[in-house]
Amino acid sequence: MMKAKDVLLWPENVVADTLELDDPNDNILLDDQLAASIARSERPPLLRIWQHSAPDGLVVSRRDVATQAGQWAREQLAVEGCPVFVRSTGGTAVPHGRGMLNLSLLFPRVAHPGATTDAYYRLLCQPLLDWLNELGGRGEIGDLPGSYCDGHYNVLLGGRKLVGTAQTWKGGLAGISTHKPGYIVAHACISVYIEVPRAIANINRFYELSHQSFRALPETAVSLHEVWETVHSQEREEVMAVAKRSLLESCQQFILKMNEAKQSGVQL
Amino acid sequence: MSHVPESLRYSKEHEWVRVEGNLVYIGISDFAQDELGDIVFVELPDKGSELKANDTFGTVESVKTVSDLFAPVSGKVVQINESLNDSPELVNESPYEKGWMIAVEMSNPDELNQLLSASEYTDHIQG
Repeated sequence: MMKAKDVLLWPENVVADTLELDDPNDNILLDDQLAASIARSERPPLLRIWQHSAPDGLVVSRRDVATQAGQWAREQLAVEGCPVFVRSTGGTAVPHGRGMLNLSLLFPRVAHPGATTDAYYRLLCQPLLDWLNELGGRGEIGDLPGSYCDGHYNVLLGGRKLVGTAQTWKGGLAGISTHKPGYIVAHACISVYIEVPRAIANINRFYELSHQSFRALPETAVSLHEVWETVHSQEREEVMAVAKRSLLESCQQFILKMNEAKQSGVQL
Repeated sequence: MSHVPESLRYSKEHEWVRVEGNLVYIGISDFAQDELGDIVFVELPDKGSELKANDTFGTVESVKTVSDLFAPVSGKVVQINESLNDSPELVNESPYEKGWMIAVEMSNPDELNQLLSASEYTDHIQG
């Protein structure tokens, strides 16, 4: 998945942490606040592993709510019991709630010809593939027409979408060198313990109310708990705790591997 | 090879400026749109907004990635390209004409002197 040259983008002193806030909106916006602080060298680059706060609902991009119809859909869904939160990264609607685990790569911008959106997607997806491998699964990267928030860097498990990814770049246009300071948020949302049919129905209801034609197909999505035999009989919060801890450990291993690779010039 | 019209001025952040009296039209360069890929959303300021040179004035989204747009000059936004709401792909198809983003009434025309000529911008993107 990763390319050898991606190691060159790996900053020094990267840490992994599970910083979270109780307020669901603040929790989502924390990525940008932390990344801005990282860009000012006030804290080290971060792999943030975090769980959404309650309640269940959706997270959409600013594009999704840029129109009056999108605003109406947001308000109406809230009335129907499905709050809609807005994130800074691109893409389209994804599930929100305690069953969603997130991995955010929060790095300062660097002036390097290899600093492309593709490279940062690879740096985001590789630890997820490693983690799934440790859990006994085999993840794949690719687009999946009909899936929610589709893109080239979905993480698929058994051909179904488990993880959606998106990015925000501050300080200039994405993937283009700039002299301005700035940061990159590369974000992955992982469906660990969700009711897929309900989540997809909410997404489709949002786009129906927005007068948009897109409809996600429920058979394209999977929740990890459906296929993760170790945790099959456990309650949601127990499963989430196990998943969060194991992803944190996996990211810590990934950081060590990347540090070693960068220091020794070894190509991964 | 990116198209860099001689008649325009450019910022290092890849915005172009077309001067018409005290009014400037602003968009992003052919090089920038090509690097970004398929543009699916452009978020622009409201008409009447005051911009300060080098501050962000909006965002552009491509490949599920949102990035900032920077104002090359200071002034008041007097027009926005409404057609980008429904057809953001115009930025890819016609970056210097149909894909323009905003028109600004300059408050400090001297700021134009800080911008790059076509040849300087060509050197910038080749450097």
